[in-house]
Amino acid sequence: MKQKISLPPLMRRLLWPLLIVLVFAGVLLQDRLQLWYYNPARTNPDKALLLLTTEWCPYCTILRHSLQQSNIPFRELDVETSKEGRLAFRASGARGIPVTLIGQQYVSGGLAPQLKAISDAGYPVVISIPDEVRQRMQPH
Amino acid sequence: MSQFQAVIFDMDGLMLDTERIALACWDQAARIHGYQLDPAIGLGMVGLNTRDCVRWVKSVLGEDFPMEEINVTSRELYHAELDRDTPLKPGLLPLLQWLEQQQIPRVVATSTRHEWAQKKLRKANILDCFQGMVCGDQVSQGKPHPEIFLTAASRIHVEPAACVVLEDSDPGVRGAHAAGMRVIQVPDVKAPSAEVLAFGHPVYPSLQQAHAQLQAWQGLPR
Repeated sequence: MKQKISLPPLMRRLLWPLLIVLVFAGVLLQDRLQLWYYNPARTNPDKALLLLTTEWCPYCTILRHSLQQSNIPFRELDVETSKEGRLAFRASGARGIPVTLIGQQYVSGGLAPQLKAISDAGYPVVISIPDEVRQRMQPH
Repeated sequence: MSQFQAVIFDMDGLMLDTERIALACWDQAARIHGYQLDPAIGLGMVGLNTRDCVRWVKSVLGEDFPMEEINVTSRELYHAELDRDTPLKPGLLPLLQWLEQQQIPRVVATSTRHEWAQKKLRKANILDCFQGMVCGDQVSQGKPHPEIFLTAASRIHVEPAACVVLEDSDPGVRGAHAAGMRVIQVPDVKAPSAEVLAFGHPVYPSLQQAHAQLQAWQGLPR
């Protein structure tokens, strides 16, 4: 014969709120763990360059083109089309793209500071504008 | 082709061999501020006034690109360089002498600021060769807008259609064309674009050939 477990009245009242709190805490913990796990600053080798970009952003195009033209090796994650990129962008704390990770240091907030930081890190980056961007934006 | 009554001269890159110096100084200034730039970016600024250069570079590289600081450094380097020497383009002096003999008025239309344009022309000993000067800071819209050329023509009371403009850059050629003036292009550091060449104006590698073209338009033997 089954014996019914009876909880004290106070416990019975707190059971559902406690469960809800536990579920939220679990979700939050999972999110934090995921951000920690996917944060490329954790695993990026010293001085290695990683760009967080999108395909359509013009500053991303100029940054990518400049590094390619200067023969500077880099890795790139698309923050829209890859989970890794999306979580890396969240982990960076940046509010806009592109974001450059140099070793373990994120640099964001505009193209110029990122190019300067890359240069200061010892990479001789030559700022270069792709022809299609130049033709579109040239005033003459 | 009918005869012309006045000639409007661009200054940097057309009369003075200074575009090369300006580009080298801009490149050096950018390096001083921690940036290395593709020469194409400097070439993209040829023929534009300072305001339009700043606007263009910031539109491409972002508002936080320290264009103003680089410009200040570049200007210091440039003026130090020009204090040493202000080189003239080959063929300029014979052309100015011929126009003087023909009593054809000459005006300068340059994107450079008035104070500096005057200094440069004085340093090059050709300031007195001109009856007027319209500078980048004296017009509300720079080249390729026609305002600077129309203002230059009105200073000497000559109809735009009776003026010939000598220019090295595409924005200048576009402006002269928009002003309804005849134009001869003598490219300097940057070759004309296909769109500009489509205007069908004469393009010559030196002022000597431009001089011969002007003589031909006046009905004189080349």
